[in-house]
Amino acid sequence: MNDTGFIFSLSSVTYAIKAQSILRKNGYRCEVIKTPKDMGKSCGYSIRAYGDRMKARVLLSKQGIDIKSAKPPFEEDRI
Amino acid sequence: MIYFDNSATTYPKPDSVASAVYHAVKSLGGNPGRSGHKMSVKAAGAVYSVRESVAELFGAQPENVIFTLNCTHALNLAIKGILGSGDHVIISTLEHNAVARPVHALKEQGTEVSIAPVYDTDDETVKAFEKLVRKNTKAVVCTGASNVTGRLMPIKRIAKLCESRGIVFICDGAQTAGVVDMKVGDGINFICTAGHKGLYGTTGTGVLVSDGKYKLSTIIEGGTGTTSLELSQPDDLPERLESGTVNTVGIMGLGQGVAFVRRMGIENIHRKENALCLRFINGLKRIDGVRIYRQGEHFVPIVAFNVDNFHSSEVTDYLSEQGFALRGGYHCAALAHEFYQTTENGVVRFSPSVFNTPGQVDLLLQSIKKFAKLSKNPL
Repeated sequence: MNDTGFIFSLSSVTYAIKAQSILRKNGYRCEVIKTPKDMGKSCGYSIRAYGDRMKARVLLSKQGIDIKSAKPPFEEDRI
Repeated sequence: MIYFDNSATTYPKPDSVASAVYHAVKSLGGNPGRSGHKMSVKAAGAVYSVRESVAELFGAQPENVIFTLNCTHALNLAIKGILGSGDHVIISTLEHNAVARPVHALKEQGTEVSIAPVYDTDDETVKAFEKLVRKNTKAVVCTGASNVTGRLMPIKRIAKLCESRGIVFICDGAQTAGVVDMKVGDGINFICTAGHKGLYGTTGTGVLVSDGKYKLSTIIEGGTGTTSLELSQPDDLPERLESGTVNTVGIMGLGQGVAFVRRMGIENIHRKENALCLRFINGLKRIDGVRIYRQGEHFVPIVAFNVDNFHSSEVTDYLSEQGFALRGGYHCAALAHEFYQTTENGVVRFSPSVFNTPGQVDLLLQSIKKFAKLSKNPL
């Protein structure tokens, strides 16, 4: 289980806050941040969270939240 | 002043709304969704919490709640976001100009428009819509209730009809939100409403609620705080339709207005206001020369009437002098007044809120009685 910090970039502040709300309800420590520049040039919002990254991805996906990119990246996203 | 013009905007507002507005001005100074500093994120979180409350009220997902300036703004976003040249749209004959004028503007650009009459029964009214459906009918836009007479439209049945034919259904919920439980889904694709009427928020607020099924073209583009280096408008709601800074202060007031409605209960609010309307109608019936305009099976808390052949504004001017706020004239509803043949004198509209009392209604009736008597026996 990976319980180190991770960042998910999302399409908007609305989705970032929605994601934060979902993850907090599931026991994650989580905050909304601006997307770091190494994850995207354009303005955008991300969440920084601590806990099981894979489980977090599933939780958000079930609620229709599309993760634009992740840090560290998921295996299938690595080039 | 005793205020009976709540269909225009509710007054007074709950104290919690005023407190929320004050708190927002003092404590939510950051621009929501624009920056990464704590004040901005705090404001964005507060706006999102109201989005959640509104979403719950209308059975939607929070991201499908778009904050607007008012109901007219929301209707323009929905109507012009769906319809184009060559499409056909059906509206009812009870539409407010917030629907009738955008549709008229589209007609001049090649959209085909039909106007469905309304009848005494819901059955006949639904059939009237059905008869007008064509192969190219793209949307039906219909008021939840007439802002002139309060007549409640058979929205769920019209929405079902639309769903079965693959037609987009847009509901103008200006007069129903807060007094009738209405949710997106089951054929209702968009609900547009004001924040400052039955939801008890401040003026300058409205919402467009989507079921997420249809993507709207944009009529306003600009900064959204997302994908800033791209010139095309983003696809994701709500930002796609919320260019420019949102009205944080108004949204906070709206949030407390919605909380107030939920605490009171929509059914309780309707029951209380409807009882005031029935008391008012019973009193009006005992005054010579009063005509009440009441067509249909169900109503929101609105009563339209006239006294003899007086212009409605003469009645409301007199009532204003006596300390009562009611609206006369045409209520921005040209089609409805043509339909009810009231373009000559307009009508006087009585619309209570949950804060009005039976005693206030009785005082108003005394003044109307006095007006009717004076008009027959002028000094």
